[in-house]
Order: sequence, then structure tokens, then C-alpha cells
Amino acid sequence: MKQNKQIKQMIFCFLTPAVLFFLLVFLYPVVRTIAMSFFYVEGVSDATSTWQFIGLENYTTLMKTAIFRESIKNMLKIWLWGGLITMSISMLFAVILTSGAKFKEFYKAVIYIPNIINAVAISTMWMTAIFNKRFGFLHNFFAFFGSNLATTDYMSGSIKFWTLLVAFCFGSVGYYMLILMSGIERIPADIYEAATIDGASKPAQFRRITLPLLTSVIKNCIVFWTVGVVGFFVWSQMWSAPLSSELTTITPFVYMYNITFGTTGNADRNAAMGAAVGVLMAITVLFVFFAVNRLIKDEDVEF
Amino acid sequence: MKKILALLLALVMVLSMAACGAKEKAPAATEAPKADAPAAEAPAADAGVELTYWSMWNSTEGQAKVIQEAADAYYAKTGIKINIEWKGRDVKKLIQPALDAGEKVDIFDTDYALICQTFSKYVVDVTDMAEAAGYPDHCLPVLMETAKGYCGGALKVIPYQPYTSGVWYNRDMFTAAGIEKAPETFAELLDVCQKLKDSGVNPFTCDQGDGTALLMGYQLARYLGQDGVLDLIDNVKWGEVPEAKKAAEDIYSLFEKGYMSPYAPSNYPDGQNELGFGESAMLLQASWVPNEVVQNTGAELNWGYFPWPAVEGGVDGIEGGMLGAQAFAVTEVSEHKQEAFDFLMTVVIGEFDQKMADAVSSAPADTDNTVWPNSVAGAEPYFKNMTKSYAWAVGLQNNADYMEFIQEAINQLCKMEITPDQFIAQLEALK
Repeated sequence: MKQNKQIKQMIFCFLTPAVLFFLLVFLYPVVRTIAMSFFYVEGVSDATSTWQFIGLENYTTLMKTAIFRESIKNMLKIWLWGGLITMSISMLFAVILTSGAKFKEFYKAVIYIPNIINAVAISTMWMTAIFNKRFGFLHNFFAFFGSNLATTDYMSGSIKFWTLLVAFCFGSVGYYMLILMSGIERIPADIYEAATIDGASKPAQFRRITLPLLTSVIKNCIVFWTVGVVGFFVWSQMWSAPLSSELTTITPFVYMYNITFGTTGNADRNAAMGAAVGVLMAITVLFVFFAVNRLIKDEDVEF
Repeated sequence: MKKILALLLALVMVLSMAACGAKEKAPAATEAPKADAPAAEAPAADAGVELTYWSMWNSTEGQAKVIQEAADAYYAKTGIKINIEWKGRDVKKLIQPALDAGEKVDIFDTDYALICQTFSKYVVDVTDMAEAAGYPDHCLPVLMETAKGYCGGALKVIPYQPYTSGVWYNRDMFTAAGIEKAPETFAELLDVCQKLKDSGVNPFTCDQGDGTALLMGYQLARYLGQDGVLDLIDNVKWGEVPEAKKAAEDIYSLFEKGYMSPYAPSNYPDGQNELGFGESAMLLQASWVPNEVVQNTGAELNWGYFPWPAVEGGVDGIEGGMLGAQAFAVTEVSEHKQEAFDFLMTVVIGEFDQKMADAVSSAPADTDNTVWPNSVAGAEPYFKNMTKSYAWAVGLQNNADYMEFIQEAINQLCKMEITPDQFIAQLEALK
């Protein structure tokens, strides 16, 4: 009993500075942002005495704004299609590399490398070396075979979204592969040995053993992916350059940035509307988090 | 004992955090350049006054080097030290929170329209100081009027590095095609394009984005004027204004008749680089683009310039053009407004203004500086006779709620994926 009390005191002492720090530098801006979203505020640092209360108007205006709806559509497409592509490839690599493949560490490092390269650099590489319609790899490849595809403009119109998605997924695979690999490596080898003795094929082992035992890891991956996609910004900006944003690649955070700070052609700012976008995006992440926890149940197994 | 130990540990942790915080310093990026900048000369007498300037440039840029040199010279002359923090383009996001938080910033700079429209209440009206210094005699009249117009008639900004946009062309290609005079009407432009095409070169090129926006923006502005374009956009009148369809047909015809490079509209900056590689003869772009082309391709072109031509029955002619500038502003909170203003006069007038123009191939801000860099010299007579100024992208990027839809439609029109009728219908549907 006495020991429990001492532990609680110890926890209290160690947590207090961190909690105070958290309240000061994190909770205050969060609360301010949420409050701001119900007012009209021009600049992010405008004094609260100048805020004009407008209730839910920022939210209703956002819902009626066509470009914001487009940005949401783009975000959902990135989440769904990008998520499927990234998770599938990551899972494939994770399974291959944990099944006794040679040079595992080498391949692991190679696949992870895009994660340590700056997004600006890797975007530039894709845009100039791969997708450039005059000098890019795809142009040269199709031109070599005399295909009409050599004239395709990969950086324009609706196809621009898909080139962006491919490049983004390329940069994301390594990260999720590592998470999934650590999950797979946690599963005891004797389970697979027993399954092999019982005559289970590799695909059956993956379906019946690996996937169920990876449920909690997959849930985490979905939440991480959602957080990453909601905060999608740099890639979109790179794909829109030299413009601040484009119809096919704009995301909510880019729109938020445009209306909070203005753009080259439009100096109008509305920090409160930007705050409302931020609040909506935070709600989106929370919704996905709870939905994932509710819909995907952890298998009740111990190993 | 354990209780005391726990308390001590917590105390140590808190003190460590506080100590770490106290040791933090400003990021290196904001410090003044040291390696490249010439050492400040020792002043005759230190005045004991220090001014803080938040700059929109990064320390390695040409503009930064000239400003640093001007600051050093000002210190040597007056003993007033200018502390420069190189914030880069992010200054437009940082300056308001900083001033709201009581940061002592005396001078900052960014786009002149942005200062007037966004930070007007933080900056001081320098009209009287400017009159006393004779500054209006040095500033291009249309630039001064535009700057005042943005700030409700008061002079709150001191513009420098002015820019415009127009058609930049390869004079040698024009000569080889037998073209002796730059076109002044759209019909003449089509004739010029045909002659260039007959001579075996791509007459025109453009990049998607700002490049295509300028094509459509200028054509609309020639028909409707700047106010007409803004009315068209803000009130979504694409179906009601016949000139909108005419402008779309004109731009479409440039592509349909084969007057554009086969790669146009290109991915930025491939289109503009076509001039440097000798593949195309003309480009409608801002006045910093010739310098970019030279930097990107290493080409030494014989540059020519003409303003976007007039159209039949249009409101505006070649006297109208996009007129932009960066600008300095002195803050309301500055305790040394006159000293700050005096320093800025040394940057925008005389020697350092000329150095700035030479360093980045831009137009000089001081009308007494008559030597324009070669790549933009062709624009000088038109620039000085400009009487109507257009907004950025002629206003096509003025509406944050649907500028992306307009841009996408323009790109589709330029790629001939949609016809002018479909272009109008597509934008009218956004009503």
C-alpha cells in the first residue's frame, strides 16, 4: 500500500513538468484555434478584442466553397488509393523480407532511403527525371518503342493527381514496411513451423496467421497514414509550383494555408476560416481513429 | 528518503529544461551574412542607434548582397547600424505576429501591394519625409501612383525592384524572319507568328500556370480593362460578357494555328527555357524571366520586348501592363523612423539602386538610373510610358475561392482539350 503511494507520488513528480509544458505550448494554441474558428479573424495574431463572433458561419461557408470540397475529394482519393497502394506494397515487401530473403538488411535500407530524403528533393527528382514530358524517363522509354504515350503530359490535368500519388506512395512504402516487418518478426517462428508441418501453404499461412496477428499493427498504420494524408502539404505545393495551388492537387491544408496567409494574386486573409479547416481536419483524424478501433477488433490471442 | 529523491529528481529535470530553453538562440539563417559580405567600415563616430530590418531575401541572393553593402555604407557614413535578419519570403507570414508580440522591427519588405492590403496599420505614412527628401522626383510616376492607390492615397511603401510583364523575344529570330517592327495589335501578332513559322522556328511558347494565366489575362484585359476583368471574375459573368469568349477564341487560335511550340503549354520552366535553347522566339512573362532563362540555359540572347498587343474594339492598349514591385516599409513602432527612411533612400536612389538592377537584371527603381540591364532594356520605353497598371496575373488569381478552376480551364483550353465555347460554359457553370 505504502509502495503504491510512493509510486504515485513519483509519477506525479515526473509528469508534472511535462504536463505543464504540454498545457503551455500545445493545449493553449489548440484551444485558441478551436475558439478562433467561431469568429471572424483576419490575421493569426490579431488581438482577441478584435475577433467578431460569427458562430458556425466559417464551417457553413467552407461546406459551400467548391474549391474546399475539391480539396477534400483529393484528400480522400489520396487516403483511399494511396493507402491501398502503399499498404499493399509495404505488406508485400515486409512479408518477402521476413521470409528469409538474402540481403535483407540491404533491401530494407534501400526501400527505406526515400524516407530520409527531403520531400522537396524527391518531388523534384520525380518531376524532372521521370515525368518531364520532354526529357523524363517515361518519355524516353515510350519514345524508344515509338509509342504515342511518349507525348503524354504527366504533369497536367487529371493525370497530374496520379503522378503525384505514385511519387508520394514511393516515398511512403519504406516507413510502413518497417512497421509491418517489426510486427511480423514479433510472431513466433514455431507457429509457422507447426502450420508448415500441418501442410498449410505460404499464402494460407499469411491469411490465417500473419494477417490476424498483425491486426493491431495494421490499425496503427491506418491511423498514421490518415494523419500523414490529412497533413498533406509539401507534395501538393511541389506539384503545383510555380502556382500556390492547382485544382487537381489541392488538399485542405494547402487551402488552409492560402486563406490564412493569402497568395501572390490575392492578399485577402481569413485566419479564422483557416482555423476552421484545421479543426475539421483534426476531427477527421479522430473519427478515423475511433472508427478503426471500433471496426477492426484485435484478435484475442497471446503469443 | 525515496520521496526526497523523487522530488530532487523532478527539480533537476525542471531546471534542466529551463536551462535548455535559456540557451536557445535565434536560428543561424536569420543572422546577417558574414562570409560574402564586405566587412563594415569603421564609422567616424558610432551614433549609438541600431535599426532592425527584417528582409524578404535570403542572405545568398543578389538583392541581399546589395542591401548589406548599402547598410554597411550607411553605417560608415552615419554611425547608425542596420541589423539585418534575412527571413526570406516567409517574412510575410512572420511580420504581423512579430509586431503584435512587440518585436522591435524598424523596417521590413515584401510585395508592395501586400504591405498596403495586409500590413497597412503597422507601417508609417512616409509622404512628408518623401517630399522633404525629393523622393517623388526619383520614383516612376505610375509606380508611385499605384503604390499610393493600394494604400488609400498615402505613401506607406517605398517600392524597389519594379517589374512588369510582356512579350520577351529573340531579336535575331525576328530579323531572320524579316520582321522589322514589333506588333502592336493582335492581328499584327498573328502575322508575326506566321512569318516566324515560315522561317522555321516556333513563334511562341508558354508554361502552364502563370504563363497560360498571363496569356488569357492580358487578352481579357485588352478587351475589358482591369476593372472589367475583376468584375468578370468576381461576379462569374463568363457567359454574359461576349469579350470573354472572344479572348478565349484568340488564345485558342494561337495553339490551333500551330504558332505555339509543340510542347506548349510546358511544365515550368521548360517553356521559358525554350528561348534560351533557341527553340522558340517569344514568351509572355514577367521581367525577371529573361534573367532566369539566362541562368538556366547559359544563353546570351539578343533580347527584345514588346507589350502584349491591343485588340480590335478593346478598352486598353499597350499603355496597360502588369506593374509590380517589392517595397520597404517603416514600422509604426520604430523609434527611429526618420533614420530608417533615410537609410531606405540610399537603397532605392542612386548607386545601390543601380547595383540592385545590375545584380538581378531588373529595372532600376530610380528614374535617374538610366542604364537598364541588357536582358530587360527593351522594356524601358514602354515601362516609362505605362499609364495603367494591372494586378498580378491581371487579376485571374484574385479570387481564392475559384482561381484553381479558372486556371484548370485555361490550361485545358491551351492544350485544346476544350473549345472556347466549352471553356466559357465550364466557368459559367461555377456561378
